Amino acid sequence: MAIEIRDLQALKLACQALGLQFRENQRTYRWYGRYMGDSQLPAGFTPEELGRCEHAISVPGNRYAYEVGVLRRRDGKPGFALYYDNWQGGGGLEERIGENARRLKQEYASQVATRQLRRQGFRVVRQLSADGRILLKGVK
Amino acid sequence: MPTVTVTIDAEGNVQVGVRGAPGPACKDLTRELEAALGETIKDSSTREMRDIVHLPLRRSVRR
Repeated sequence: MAIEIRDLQALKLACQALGLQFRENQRTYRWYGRYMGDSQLPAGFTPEELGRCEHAISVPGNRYAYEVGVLRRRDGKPGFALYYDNWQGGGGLEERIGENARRLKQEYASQVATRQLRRQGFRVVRQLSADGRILLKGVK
Repeated sequence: MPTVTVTIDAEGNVQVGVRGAPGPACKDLTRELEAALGETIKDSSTREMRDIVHLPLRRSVRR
């Protein structure tokens, strides 16, 4: 399965788990401020629109770190895209969210799956494997 | 007693597995979970699911 960000509550919980701050309705995110052409834009967005978002995610206590913009997708699919300026790891941002926000997406998926399994009446046990995988086991 | 396992690797890829829910019950258990997570890229049935689904057909052939 390929993860799609649709559940903002799960995204908030993922941010909390990784020590990030979800800034609801913050309409701009911190970045370099000028598109240098060294990263792929989210589908349907122009360089002029960078820096604007629906919500933002920041690293508390690090005023130099760039922020993640949570953008409503424009590729015809529902949900949100995550975009940030990854120059030099986003000034400390990637230490928390992982390269290409993989760690944040992984934690998001874990939160979505846990919430859904509980809704279906499962008791959920979570384990972290040595190779970095998150394993969830739902038992009724 | 059905058990659902979800594995999320460091790249963000997700695998969902089910034990103890043979046949269509397996898909019933995971349908909402898959919809919540995103897009299913590959869907394959386990032997447990296939055996139960095909069993009535084999029986009818033998008659």
